[in-house]
Amino acid sequence: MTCEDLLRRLVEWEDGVLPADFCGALEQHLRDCPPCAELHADLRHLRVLCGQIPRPDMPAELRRKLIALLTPR
Amino acid sequence: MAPPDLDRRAELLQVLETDGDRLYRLALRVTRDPGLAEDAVQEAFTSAIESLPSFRGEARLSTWLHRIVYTKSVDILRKRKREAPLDEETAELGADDARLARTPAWSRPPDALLESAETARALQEALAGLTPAQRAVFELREVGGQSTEETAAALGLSPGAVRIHLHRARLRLRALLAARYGGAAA
Repeated sequence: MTCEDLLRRLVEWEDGVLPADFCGALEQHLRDCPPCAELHADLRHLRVLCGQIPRPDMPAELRRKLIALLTPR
Repeated sequence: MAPPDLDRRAELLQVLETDGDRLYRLALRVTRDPGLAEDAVQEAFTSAIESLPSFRGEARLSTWLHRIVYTKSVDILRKRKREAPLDEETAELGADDARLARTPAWSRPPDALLESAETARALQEALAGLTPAQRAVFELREVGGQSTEETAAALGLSPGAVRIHLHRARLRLRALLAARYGGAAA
């Protein structure tokens, strides 16, 4: 597996839809290729960061308007 | 017995109860403006009510509403010319992606960097550098934790296109964060 192949297959690997022989080759490539291992580590860190992004709730006024819209008079 | 349209409205109320926050966050992620996000969600529900008679139940009502909210959000951006161009690349990963993947690492940051509120803010700012579709995929799949298949159904994309958008979004965010924290993370 090349670095380009790994790039193309990484999300499929995460999704568990990559055939078993590809999985083995991808995991081996991650062990053997420092730049790809570094990229993979960065993407893991990115996911940790995602957990810290503020997730605002729908404003109460908008919710009230939508309830009124959906409630037959 | 209630007429079918009233039953459907009751179902929409149920979707508002269970998925309202997720729908608003999707609109907010795509438009990056609370006022525009509110407009998009309100227009989406109005449009959903008008289209209820033609809703054939092929998708879940919630999935259908996600798609309408996404479409309205992109429409609003397009009308206001907030983003140009809006063409979304869904072709195979190519040379640009390979170049981005070789961006100097931002990796192995100290825990303090990962935990800092400033880093979370920097990520929010970096999200502005993504296309609307990349932001939508990122919100549902990466931040919201939905599966690739659920994200694809909600946005009207193929699972393959979702994976490409997600991968490009991650690479671009990594590059933007590396530009900011490259020195600090060494």
